[in-house]
Amino acid sequence: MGAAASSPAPALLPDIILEILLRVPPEPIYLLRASLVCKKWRDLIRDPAFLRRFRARHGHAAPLVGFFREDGRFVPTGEPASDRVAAAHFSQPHGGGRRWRVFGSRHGRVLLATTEHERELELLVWDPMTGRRSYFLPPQRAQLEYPAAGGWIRRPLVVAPCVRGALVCDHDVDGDAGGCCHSRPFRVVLLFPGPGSATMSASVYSSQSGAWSVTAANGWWSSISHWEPNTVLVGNEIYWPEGRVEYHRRVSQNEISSPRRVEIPHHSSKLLGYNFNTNWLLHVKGLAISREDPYDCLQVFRDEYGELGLAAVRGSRLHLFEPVADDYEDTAAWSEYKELDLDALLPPPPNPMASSSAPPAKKTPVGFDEDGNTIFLSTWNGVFGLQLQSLKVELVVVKVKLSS
Amino acid sequence: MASAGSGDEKAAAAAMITLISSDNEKFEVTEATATLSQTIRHMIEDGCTDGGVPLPNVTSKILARVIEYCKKHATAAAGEEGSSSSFSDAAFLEVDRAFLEELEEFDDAFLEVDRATLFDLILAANYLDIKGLLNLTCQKVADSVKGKTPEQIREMYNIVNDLTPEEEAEIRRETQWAFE
Repeated sequence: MGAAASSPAPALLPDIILEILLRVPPEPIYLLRASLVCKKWRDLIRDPAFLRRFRARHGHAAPLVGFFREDGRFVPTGEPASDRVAAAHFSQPHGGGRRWRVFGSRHGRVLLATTEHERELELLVWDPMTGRRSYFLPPQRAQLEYPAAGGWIRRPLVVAPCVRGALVCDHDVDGDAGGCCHSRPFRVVLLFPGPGSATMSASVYSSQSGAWSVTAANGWWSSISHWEPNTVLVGNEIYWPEGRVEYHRRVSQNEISSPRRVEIPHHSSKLLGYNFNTNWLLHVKGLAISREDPYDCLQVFRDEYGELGLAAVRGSRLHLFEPVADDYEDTAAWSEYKELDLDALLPPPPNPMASSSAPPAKKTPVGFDEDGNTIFLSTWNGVFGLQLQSLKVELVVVKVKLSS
Repeated sequence: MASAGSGDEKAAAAAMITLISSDNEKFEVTEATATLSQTIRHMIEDGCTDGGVPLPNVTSKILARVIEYCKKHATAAAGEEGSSSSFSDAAFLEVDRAFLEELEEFDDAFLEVDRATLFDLILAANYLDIKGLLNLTCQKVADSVKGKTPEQIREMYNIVNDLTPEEEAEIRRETQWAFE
């Protein structure tokens, strides 16, 4: 090395290159670009031991690369724009000439379902990074068979928007150590109405066995006419919020109207849950909501202790709730433990003159990142990530609204 | 420390270490500052620091910066230790946060150097085994890949592209999600 250490860019030792590469930001685009620099870098990055250390250093959290809209279109995140993944690649059609919608995503994989009323429901787990696709049919019980010319055809018992689904990686619920999810086995849980649409059924598909589990049935099916892709996994249990309180009218193929009305489905909302260990459906008492002063939006989340939480937005206030258990360890009520002023946390609108008289910009939760413990809020100038522990705010998409 | 009484002065003098840069400049530092370097810590433990510690891999310009870093971080560490026993929890947290914020500001300002100096600091931090400084400087370089093409990264690190067009095409084929 010698004393002449002031050349414009001294050659770095392999050890130091390794230290630098380990600290490259976690979004996959950066390691990819680094692997295109030279052979030495490529070989370092391809080493499984390096990748293990890299993930450990970044806390095993899957980085955010973007959001899926309900219609499957992809909105990439990240700054600068040149560092985003190619949206077109993530938004491409999903085969069979059929229409697909996003049911949810977890750790880089996406669960989609077909949406046509007249045709058999089909499910797809898609890994946009590797291009790997697994198509499969829902359990028999979620479909009805109709006589048709030349045999029987199967039609969905209910239209796809009434079915709820969630994708989890096997190791999420088995408590196995984390790692790359892309090639690892997954499970899909589906909630659908039982016979006569009076009961609710749940079944779990395992990619390892290629089969659906014995159906669990429990409780009454409440009509759900809204997609709810934002599930949250808490230990062995997965939760869906019971309907968001915003309703939209589809005005054309690609356009959704502004909220038609704000409506509370019941006096209180409700959460649906499924326990992977016990194969039980869970009906969790929801938040008590007054008709006079309803929340704009609800979002389930997992708090810093790994427990279920509910976030509710009303105007510019974000209210965080934790469940209060009764003697039977069921949720008896929700207790507010934090209230935040979003206008103080999020950057102000660009024109303060105009904003003084205008109502504050609407903030809508559009998702929750379990690994980063971050709630995403869509507002006038983009989508912000709010880390619920540190309350640090990060702009993740500029000037794209995910909500109407 | 210089304002301490004569008795303290003697104790302080006993804990001073002399570092000698590659261009033969001598730097007097406290043991607390010097031992942020694991390399120097081991030398002290082995009793090989009499007559100064020669650092033939580090120029005076870089060593001065490294010492600046170590002084600041050694002071912050000492301040934190002292505060933990003499403040209430709330006050301690407050002081703690103030220290961290000040340290963060110092680190940000410290990193405002040209690329050649940054690389020299990395080499020095690696040689002297100063974990905090190595982390800080490597992170700065790693963050600079943001918004850069592979060509720009090569230019930055002075690297010759030895990948064949076929190898490049293979990587791009495997990762189409990035190129559309």
